[in-house]
Parts: sequence; C-alpha cells; structure tokens
Amino acid sequence: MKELKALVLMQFKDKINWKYTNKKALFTKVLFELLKAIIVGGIAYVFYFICTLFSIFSMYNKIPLSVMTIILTFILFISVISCTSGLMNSLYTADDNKVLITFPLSGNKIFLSKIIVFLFNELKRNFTFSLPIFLAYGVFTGLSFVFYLRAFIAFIVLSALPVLIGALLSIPLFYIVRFLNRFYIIKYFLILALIGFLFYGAIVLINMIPEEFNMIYAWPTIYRVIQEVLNYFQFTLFPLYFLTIMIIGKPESLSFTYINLEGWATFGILIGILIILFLVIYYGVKKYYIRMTSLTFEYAKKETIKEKKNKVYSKRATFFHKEFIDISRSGNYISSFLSAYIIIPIIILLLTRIFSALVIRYYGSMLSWVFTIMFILLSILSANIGITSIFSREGRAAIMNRTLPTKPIFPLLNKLIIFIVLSIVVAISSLVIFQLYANLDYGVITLIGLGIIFLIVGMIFFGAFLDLKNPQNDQYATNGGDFVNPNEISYVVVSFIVSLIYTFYSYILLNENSGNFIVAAIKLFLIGLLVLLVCLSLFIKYVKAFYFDSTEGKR
Amino acid sequence: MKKPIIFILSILFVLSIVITGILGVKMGAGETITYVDKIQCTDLIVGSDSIAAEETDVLNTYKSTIDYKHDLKFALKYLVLPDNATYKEVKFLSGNEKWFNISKFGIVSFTETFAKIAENGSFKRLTLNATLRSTDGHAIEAFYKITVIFPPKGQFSL
Repeated sequence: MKELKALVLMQFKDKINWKYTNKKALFTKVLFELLKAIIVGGIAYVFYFICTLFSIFSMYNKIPLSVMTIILTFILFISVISCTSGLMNSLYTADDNKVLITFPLSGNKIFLSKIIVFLFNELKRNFTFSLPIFLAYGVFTGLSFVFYLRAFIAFIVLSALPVLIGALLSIPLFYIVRFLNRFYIIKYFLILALIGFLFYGAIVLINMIPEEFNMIYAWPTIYRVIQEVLNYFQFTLFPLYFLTIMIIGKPESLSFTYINLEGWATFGILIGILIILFLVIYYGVKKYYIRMTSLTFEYAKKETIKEKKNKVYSKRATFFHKEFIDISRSGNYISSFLSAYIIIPIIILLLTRIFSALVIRYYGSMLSWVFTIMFILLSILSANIGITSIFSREGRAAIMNRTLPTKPIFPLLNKLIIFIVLSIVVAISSLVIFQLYANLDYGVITLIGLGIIFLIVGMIFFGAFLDLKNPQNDQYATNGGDFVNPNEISYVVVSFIVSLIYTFYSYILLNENSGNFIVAAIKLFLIGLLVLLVCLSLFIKYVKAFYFDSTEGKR
Repeated sequence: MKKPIIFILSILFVLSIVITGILGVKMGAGETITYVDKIQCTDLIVGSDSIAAEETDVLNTYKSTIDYKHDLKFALKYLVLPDNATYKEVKFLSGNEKWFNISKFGIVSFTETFAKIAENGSFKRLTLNATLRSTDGHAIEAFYKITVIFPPKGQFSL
C-alpha cells in the first residue's frame, strides 16, 4: 500500500503540476482553477437564463431535467473519448513507463497507480468543468443545499465511469493504433474515409436546412421537435436520465425530491458497474501490462532503417525540412489539429447556411455577420492551442535550439510556419464562405479579413511567447502530453477574451456605420494589425531574452 | 480541442442562431424598409437572344412566345420596383412542376414529360404559367404566361 501511495503521489505531482511545497504557488493554482470553474458556471448560467427568457425548452420559465440529461450525455461522451486516448498514452506509451517498470514493484501496482492518477485528474476536470455546469443549474433553479452536497458526491463516483470505460477501450485501441502505425496505407485510407464521411455528413446536414425559415412563425414546429428530443432523452435513454436524477434529484411538481428510488437505485447500480468494470480491466490486463508497455520501447521495434544519402540543404531549408519531418512523425498531435482545421470551414458553412435560411431583417443580417466573425475567430484560435507547447514538446532536446549555428529566431519561426499557413488557409476559406453569404463590398471584406488574419497570426505569436515565457519541457519529457499545461489555459482564456472583445467591437462599429462599412472595416483592420504587432514584439523580445547572448547577436 | 472549448463553442453556436433568429426580425436603429411595389417581367433570355415580354390587360401579367427546341433552357428577366427596395430577391414558382422547373436564379428547364408531349406532335403550342413573388413578406406577385410553340413532328433541332 505504501508503495502504491508513493507511486501515485510521485505521478500526481508531475501530472497535476502542483508544487505543493510552495504555498503561494499552490494558492495561485487553486485560485486559477476556481476562477475557471466560475467562468464555466457563469457561461452555463447565461445559457440557462437565455433559454428561459426565450422559453426554448419549456413554457413554464424553467429548464427541464431532460436538458441536463443532454448536457450530461455530451459531457460523458467527450470524457470517454478523451479518457480512452489519454489512458492509452498514459498506460502504455508514456515515457515515464521506462522508469516506472525498473522500480522493484509488480506491474499491477504501476497499472493501478496510473488509473488512480488518471481518476484524480478526471475528478479535477469534473470539479472545474462538469460540476460548475450543474451547480449553475442549482443556483438558477434555486435548489436547496442538499442538491450541492448530492451533486458533489455524485460527481466523485461518476468521474470513475469514463475512466474505467476508457481503460477498457484503451486495450483494443492500443493494438489498433499499433497495427495502423505498421500499415500506413490502411491508416491513411481510414483517415481519408473519415474525412469523406465528415464531408458527406455535413452536406446531408446542410441539405436538410430549409431554404426559407422564419424562426418566429416556425416556432411551434421547432418547439414540438425540441420536446420530442427531450422526451427521447427522458424515456428512451432513461439510464442517462436516471443518472441526472442521481445528481440533481427527482422533479416533483415545482420542486425536487432527494429521497427516491430512481436516484438511489441508479447510485447502487453505478457502483456495481464500476466494480465489475474495474475487476474486468484489472484481471484482464494484470498479466500482460508490462509486456504491453514494453512493446513501445525502442528496442522492441523491428523496423529496418533504410540508409539515405545525406543531402545538404541551405540553413533555412534545413530547419524547414527538420520541422516537416518532426510534424510528419507526430501522428496523433498533427492529426488532432489538422482535423480541427478541416472541421472549421464546414462549421462556418453550416452556420452561414442556417443564417441565410432565417427570415431576418437588416439588424438580423448584421447580427449574423458578427456571430460569423466570432465563430471564425474562436474556432481557429481554439484549434491553435497546440502553439502553447510548440517548443516544450521537444522536451529536453529543445536546448539544441540554442546551439544551432544561426540566429535562433529562424528555427523558432520555422516551428510556427505550419500553424500560420494552415490558419491563414482556413481563415481565407472561412472568409470566402462568409462573403458568399454576406455579399459585402470587396474592399470591406478584404479589410475585415485581413484584420481577422492579423489577429489570428498575432495570437499564434502570443501562444509561442507563453511557451517561451513559461516552458514545460520537463513535463513533456516525462509525461508526454498527459498533464495540465498552464500555458494552454492562459492562451484559451486570452483568446476567448480577445475574440469576444473584437466581436463586440465589430458589432458596435457595424451598427454605428450602417451603410458605410468601410470606416468600420478600416478600424477592425487596424485592431488586428495592432494585436499582431504587439504579440510579435513580445515574441521577439522573449526570443532575444532567452536565446541571444552578445556573441550570438553578432552572428 | 479540449472538452470545455467544444462545450462552450457548441453553446455559442446554438445561442447565436437563436438570438439572430429571434432578435434579427427587429428593425435596426434608423432603419426603414422599402417594400417592393411591383415586379415587372422584361424578357426571356435564350442563349444570346432576348425575347421581350408584353404587358397584358390583366394586372401584373406579362406574356412572351418562344419556339421549342430539344433541351431548351431560358432565363426569366425582371425588374423589382422601386429601385431602392430593401429586399430585391424574388422567388420563382412553376405553374406545373410536372412540365417545367424554375431554378432560384430564374432559369427555366423542361421535364422529360413535357419533352414527350412536345415531341409527339399532339399539340402545336402550350402556355406555361410562371409566378414571380417578392420575399419581403408582402408577397407582391407578377405572372408570366410563356407560350411555347412546337415545330411539326419530325422537325426538332437537336
């Protein structure tokens, strides 16, 4: 037991990144997490408020419990996906396995410790994300203190469900990934098939949108469809509805009851399912864990290395070539952000198609333009989250950047090129879709588009600056990507704030200058340019501070 | 993308549609809507040729005559009055969808059923009714009667 505790604490410290010996750092960290939870809860509260204001889910000015079932389903679905891929990395491919298996411990203990650490991580994520959404519901509905206690306990138990499902699914996924990594043709074929399926799905969805759609006139039909969906979640997907009752309580006339058969029976069944899942995984993997882990080690690889003649490139081409090779080798990392880039124009197309179907007046058109600008910005900036670990991902090899026989800015900038190019391509394609819908003057759309592109590129430099300022190389060297990167949180918060301010300001400008958008477009262009210049100067300043010394500067 | 980001973007996606759909029907500050008074059919465009439309004695009704060819397609041209109408888009409605369809750009194309009728020689001419309707909510309409003249059987140009 002592060994397990030591193992858990050791990994916990690394993954959660809590410097618990430093009280000030711990306090700042807790405060930051609390702030994150308050922001999520606040957004959820605004969502409930707007839905009630427009009577979207109920005519009785309330949010039905089945809405929370939909939210819970969504949370659990995404959690299972992230836990499956996260656990596959943490259990079988993480770099710390190489050290952990050398300890005088059985494989079971390492396996258990990894599951416990992941469970704590999931618990932390749920307390800062899922729980605030439900707490906001409690505050909005005016539930008693019993709800808060109940929700807290329910989420402790519920957090184990995606972790254990993920642990179970990670076993076949591990072998599938290994198989696909060996047979690249099948892997690329599957990726292409997935992209094709995605496009097909998007086209089917877009074709389903009626040509003309007056939301106010069509509201009775929409409301009926919403009620059918809510009923589906309440009656057909009743286990999930019962899970919601377990968290919140059972609605009885105008209040909620907390002692009911559905809630407590669900709690008991959930505990039973968790125990069965745990036993299946534990006894299933027990014998094979060390063998599975060691399959990813360098010596176990049977690939034959083809010798290639060394080709001499120019200095700049060398760095570009090196980045290209790095990216093509980091399959999971690149595919996750490439897929985000493919999805963005489809989402924008879907959004503009819905807007063009809505029967709206001039004010509505302006709102739709502003919302489209907001979505282009938010989605591209969110997809670029990987920029905050672009240098740290190199782990301890990043020190090599200081020894390269050139100004450090070139290899560092080369790392950003893929993000900049892809972001510009996605931004342009999204802007073309936007222009096809909005039909603005070419000068206006060009200026707004340039403003958006400058802002996105500026934020790429800002993300890179965060990584330079607060490097996480040790974390990536030890844990791979399986830890909470504080730079990612800072980048996301700043990106959302910048996007929302830019959107709000574009609303004010377009509203003030209705009919003469060129003035508004020039101002938006200048704001984008300003953000780019500020972020670029921050980036260059930090590159100079961390990489240049007096001799390098003269090179 | 991270779980909270996907969640927040999904909420914003739904809210932006709901807000635009509900608040978007409100008039903006200082905005005045100029509604369509009249839709005037001007001509039919067949390739590079133009066939002028005649106004009939019946209110808002126009007519034109066109010679039938195999795979014939032509465009309906019109004017929306007044010039400064806020919503100038027009919706086209076919009088008989079994015979002919009109695209949202006003391109008329015939169905196979109509081609069979045209080419079996049982009719010398047929009149098609097309309706042009404004989309500003006032549903101002113009009616276009297009008479299609069929050549004698066996003289179809392909």
